[in-house]
Amino acid sequence: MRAPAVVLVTFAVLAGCTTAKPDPVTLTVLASSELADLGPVLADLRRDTGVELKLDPRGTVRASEELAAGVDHDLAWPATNRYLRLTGADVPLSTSIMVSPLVLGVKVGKADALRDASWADVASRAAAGELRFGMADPRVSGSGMAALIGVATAAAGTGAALRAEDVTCDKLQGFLTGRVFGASGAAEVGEEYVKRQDEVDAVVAYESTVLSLNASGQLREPLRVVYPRDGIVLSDYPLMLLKPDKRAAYDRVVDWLRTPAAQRSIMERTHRRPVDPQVERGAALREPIGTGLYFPGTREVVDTLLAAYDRAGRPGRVVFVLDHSTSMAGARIAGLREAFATLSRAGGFDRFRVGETVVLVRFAGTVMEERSVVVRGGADLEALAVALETAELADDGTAIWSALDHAYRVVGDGTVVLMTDGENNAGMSADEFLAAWPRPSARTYAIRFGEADPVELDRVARATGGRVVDAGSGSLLEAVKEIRGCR
Amino acid sequence: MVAKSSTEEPALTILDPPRPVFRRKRFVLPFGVSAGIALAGVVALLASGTVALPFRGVTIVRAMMASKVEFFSDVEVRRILMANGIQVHLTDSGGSTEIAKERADPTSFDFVMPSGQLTARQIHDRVGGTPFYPFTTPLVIAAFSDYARALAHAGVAEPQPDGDGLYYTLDMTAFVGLTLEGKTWKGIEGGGLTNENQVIAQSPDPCRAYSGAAYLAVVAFAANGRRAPTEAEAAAVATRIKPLFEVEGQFGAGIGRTFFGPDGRTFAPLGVMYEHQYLAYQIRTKERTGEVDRDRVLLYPDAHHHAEPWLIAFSEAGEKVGRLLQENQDLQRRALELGFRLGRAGSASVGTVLAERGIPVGNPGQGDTEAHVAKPAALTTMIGELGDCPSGVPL
Repeated sequence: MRAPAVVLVTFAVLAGCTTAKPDPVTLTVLASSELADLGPVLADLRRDTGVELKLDPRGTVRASEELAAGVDHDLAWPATNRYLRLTGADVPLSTSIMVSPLVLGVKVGKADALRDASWADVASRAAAGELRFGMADPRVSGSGMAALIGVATAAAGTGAALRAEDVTCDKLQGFLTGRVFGASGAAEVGEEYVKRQDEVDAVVAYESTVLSLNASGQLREPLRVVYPRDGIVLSDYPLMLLKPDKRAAYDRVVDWLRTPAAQRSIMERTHRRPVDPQVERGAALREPIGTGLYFPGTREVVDTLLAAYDRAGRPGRVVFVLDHSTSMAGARIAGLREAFATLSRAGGFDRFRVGETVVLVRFAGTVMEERSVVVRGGADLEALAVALETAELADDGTAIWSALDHAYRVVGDGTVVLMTDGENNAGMSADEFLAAWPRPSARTYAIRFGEADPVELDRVARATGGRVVDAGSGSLLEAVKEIRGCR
Repeated sequence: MVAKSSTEEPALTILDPPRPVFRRKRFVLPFGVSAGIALAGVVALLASGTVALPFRGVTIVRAMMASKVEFFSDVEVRRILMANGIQVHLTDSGGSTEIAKERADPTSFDFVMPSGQLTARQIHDRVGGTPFYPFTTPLVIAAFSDYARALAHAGVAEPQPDGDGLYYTLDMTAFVGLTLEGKTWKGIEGGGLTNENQVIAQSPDPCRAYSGAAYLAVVAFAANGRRAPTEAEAAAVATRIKPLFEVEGQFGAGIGRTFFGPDGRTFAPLGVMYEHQYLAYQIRTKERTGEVDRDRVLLYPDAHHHAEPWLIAFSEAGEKVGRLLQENQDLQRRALELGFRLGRAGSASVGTVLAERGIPVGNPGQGDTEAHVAKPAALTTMIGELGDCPSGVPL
């Protein structure tokens, strides 16, 4: 009896035994800064595989630039390799480990208004001062850049990846009006939110950051995750091998990280979505996340977005020069009033925004009224919405050049938008105007209805870098939207 | 001082000798149970061949591949290989063309397995090795069912007669036409979709993934009046189909895994993959839940390409794996269960495996599939125009 037992035990032990534990290895990793939250997972990794990952934290956009220039790390673990690919660098061996979408974490009390929101809804609320948020600096952080790309792609509305020519006009300013504070990375924006939670309504960050904030016990009001329904940017955290001679250890790490147990542990500790579909998800991570966004294919697009980001918060000024001669009666004046109501109350990416100064110059044979509204909040927007409702028309001619002359005197460093349906038959002549303003500096757009003759207008507009937009074929609102944000 | 004396004799009770430890009831029962379990385990291990391993020695075989890691990381495949004394250590290249690169150093592996013949031929021409041809799989487009129905509504896709809603034939020329006219999913009349993105099948980068390169070839065929562009035509055809690839902007990674996850729709509602990836998923789903997933369907492009992943061996151990894949019945059976078609290697069919499980069988189309793909020189020109190839155009 005893002998067979010994044999059995020996067999069982031998059958169960695996290859000897490999030697301990330490790998340096240039990693996205929010991955600090993987600490306990990496401790388990080290225990099970003998591989220690030493994370060197960096924002993903910054890390991608460093990677393109060349670094001395063994591995890299950014939130995405898309920015690295935009630099034109050849992407090294990469394996996606986990996923988190870029979202808005909105205070529960404010979230109902944003249920099923699109990026345009978000931008519109931000422009009106109704949604104030923190977001990470897009120069450094992948989450910040993802937000800009989401907003800009939705604003371009082409249904395709953003191209450089789609971002010639800046449609980001409405959204960026809501940005109260920045931070150097996805994790830092969460920390900053905890400190400043009473000042703002939301945080723009990864889903994992928002869920982790909710679980941290540090919030006075919990956040609800809002997935912009028309453009989700996913981060898939690829682990990349930079030093080919570390491949054996790299493979060990990847194998381990993709085991169901590790995937579950990542999900439970960091609220990122497992890439392994077999791993059952917690309730919060089962939410369907909507339509994915086509990601831009050129570096140029990103540079344009960063330039727009740098302009954020500058006090914009726009002078509308509005023809109120009697020929505007009927559908034209109604269209004009409707356009102002829309831009004040709901205009999505093109809405009048907090911080902007809107000057209305009404004219017929002479300038009849100049009214300036500095937008500070809802009351000012409402004033703009109804500003033209009772404005009367006059039948003393159409003094286009005199009105434009007036606008140039008050425009400062802003933009002029002229709307007219007639030919100049009062006040200054085109020649007089051009003599007075040989080199007009204010970017000028003209929106033309019906019979207005655009030849000279076009000349002036082009000289300033602007152009004439024809509202004859479409709606006035569309024409205004076409040039909003162009400067 | 009086000592109390005792007159009693010590009474010694004679006890029965103790039962040997291993005959005690407290022992026999638990031991019997555990020994039984151990014995059953050993029998099972013997049957699978695993128990002999410590005595026979296992050869660790190092291999590099892209989507075919799905085959070699399958538990059953690993078990069969282990029973034959082989453990495969995988490096996922992320895309087949990576394997062809010098920096990947393919000959440092026991074998490599690029996903298709074009890349395979290139590797073989450059560094040699012994090729094996264990299976093939058609290039397909996987879709969520509402998107496929919208395409059918637009007359671009047609449900296959016996496909039970799982399989469609895609009119590639009409499909390419939709993208070239800038149609959005929402814009398909009566399609009922809300997605405002333009109609495309998301494809991996033709510079990195074999499926990306093969899909580009299929699109070029469709856009060139159903004729593979010649070298002279390649640049012009590339210009014509460029808008199709610009819609997606930066190419995504392959969707062979992500499409089947809970976030599949966000990764791609319609995307390029291999038939085996889809069939393996449906076989697995049916086994697990008793039903196939009717929300994920397959579009067979009417311009088709059957990818043939070559196993190129660079060592004796690598060759052994190649031979096993081509000859071992268990591995062939498992390959079918993982959705592959047996190319030059065997006669059993994936259709049988599907039918046995009550899963409808799709029809990838007949005909000379090589004719649908431009010759390497022409394809290289087109990839160079359309792809994003920082380290040069593959092929």
